[in-house]
Amino acid sequence: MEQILVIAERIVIYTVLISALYALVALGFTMIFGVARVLNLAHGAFLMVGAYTAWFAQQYLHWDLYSAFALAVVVCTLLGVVLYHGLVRHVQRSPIVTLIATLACALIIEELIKIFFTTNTQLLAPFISGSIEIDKTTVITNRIVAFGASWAAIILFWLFVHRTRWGKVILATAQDQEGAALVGIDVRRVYTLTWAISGALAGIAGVFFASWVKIDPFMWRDPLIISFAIVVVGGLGSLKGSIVAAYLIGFLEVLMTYSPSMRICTEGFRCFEFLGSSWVGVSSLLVLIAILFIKPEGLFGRAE
Amino acid sequence: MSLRAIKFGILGITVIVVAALGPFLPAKWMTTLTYAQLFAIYAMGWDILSGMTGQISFGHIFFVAVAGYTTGLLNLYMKWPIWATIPLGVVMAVVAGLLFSVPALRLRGPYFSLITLILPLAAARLVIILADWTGGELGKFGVAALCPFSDFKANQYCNYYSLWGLMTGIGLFLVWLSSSRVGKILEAIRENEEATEAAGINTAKYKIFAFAVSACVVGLGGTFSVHINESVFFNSLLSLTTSIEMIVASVIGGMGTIVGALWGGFLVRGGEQVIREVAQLKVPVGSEGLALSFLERWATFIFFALLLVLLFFARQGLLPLLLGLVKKREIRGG
Repeated sequence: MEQILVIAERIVIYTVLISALYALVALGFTMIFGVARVLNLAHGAFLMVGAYTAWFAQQYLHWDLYSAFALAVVVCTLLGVVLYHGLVRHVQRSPIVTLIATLACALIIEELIKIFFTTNTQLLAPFISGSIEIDKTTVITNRIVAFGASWAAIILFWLFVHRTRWGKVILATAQDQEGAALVGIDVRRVYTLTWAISGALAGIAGVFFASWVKIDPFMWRDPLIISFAIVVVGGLGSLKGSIVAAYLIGFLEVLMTYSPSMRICTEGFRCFEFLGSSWVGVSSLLVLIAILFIKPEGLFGRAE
Repeated sequence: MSLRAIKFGILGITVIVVAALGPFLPAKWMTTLTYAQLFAIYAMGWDILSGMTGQISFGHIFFVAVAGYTTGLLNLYMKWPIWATIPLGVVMAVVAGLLFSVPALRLRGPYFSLITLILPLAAARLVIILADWTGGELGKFGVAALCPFSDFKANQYCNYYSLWGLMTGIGLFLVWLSSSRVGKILEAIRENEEATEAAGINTAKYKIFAFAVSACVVGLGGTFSVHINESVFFNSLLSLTTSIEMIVASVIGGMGTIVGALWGGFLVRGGEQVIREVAQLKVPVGSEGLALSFLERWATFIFFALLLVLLFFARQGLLPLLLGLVKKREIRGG
């Protein structure tokens, strides 16, 4: 009984922590969809660029992590603007071409990173090293930093959208692009701003994702899947839905990691693990497939 | 000349040239063209579904994996002969295609593409979880060979011409299918699904049919690939890059033309080999010469960059571009 309580507590704490990061990961993705109706398949690659920028600044330029972090955010913001003006703006009218083009971008970024930084796994130093005890659960301190930063970014983002003039302009454009244009809003500038913000959010998420997990040229796939899953479960373009969905997905992932796993073996010493940490990515994929099939418009979202 | 005759003509010339080239190819290029033919099969398989109906699939490599792992693992562990496992693998791919298509086709446009992207990623997780059987990312060797010769050269010829036979058969069938009534309906679905439905056509039925044909073609390629490589290899059966390269091939050649996808397949795989060859060279600049070996690492990058350029400037692709030129001349001449 004691044991179960300890595991349950650990699952709750880890869920709360990682889900905040997941919500941040999905935020930029859902924002671009909500405002511009573009599914940016390069979103995971944005995170990767952020992670590599911070790592590069730290490793080769010997910057401290805070400056490296700032640089990553700036680079990702610029990347968002460049991708919008250089590519997406011209193909936006066809959703399918946009999908292919942004996915090609993600793969191009993967190739470039392979060429310049090899496929080796890199580690990013944490903001604060060490770990602390919460009741009976050991938590890496950096993950608490990531949790705090994620919520700070989400709340700032919410305040920006709902409390500032430009935020309201973005909301108006998201609701009705033509209507916004009619009342004198420069829609293209709004889109540029949206891509810049989305890039910045990806940069922040990328640095924390990297220090939470690892850095390698394939790391863009997991955040992209997480973003999909969250955004599809929560409804594309819905902020509230995204956060609820992030907690759902995060909970499933943590549950998979700490649930007792079963090792199933056949003759010939061939075994596989049923549940357990190797199933971590699987849960969000299965939830995603199930939701897309049963309720394609998402649990909270509008029908598309 | 009708479009159908032109397509059959181009297909005929292409396959005859590929067959005639065989004996003159150095060993390295023979391998390249063997894999180019395999890839052309994948590209045509992708084209009959995605190119024709406009439902873009990002995850066709999934069907390669289903067919490939089925035939490879049954052969490896159950010791079943390949003439039994290959059809089984293809059947499994078709079944997977059908199971997937029924719910997936309720989703339109981007949503459909999204879920196809998820499939190979989920399959990759499964392959890694079952690594004791599948070999995980390293793959498993010891699968029966497609060609039973002990001589390397004989084997190479046998692989080359078996794939040639498969490619020709599939090419003929798909060109016929694409210019039949079914093909016209698939194209109508791409242009305007509501209007097609309004004309009293059950579009879902045709899309599911296209799905099954597509999965079957790609699955056939997958089974051959396993027995040519004599291994189930993660990178050739489940690589997301290959999955996107199918789109690259089809976009280069012209989406929805089948023959264009065939050409695109050869251009992508042949082009990669050309880049590798060029990478061996040295440019006579300076005293030591400039080695081009760095180019090899840029091969994949170059093709994805080319895809972007094509999406921008020549979305219709090579074949329609050429046909367009021919037609213009005819009009001017007539």
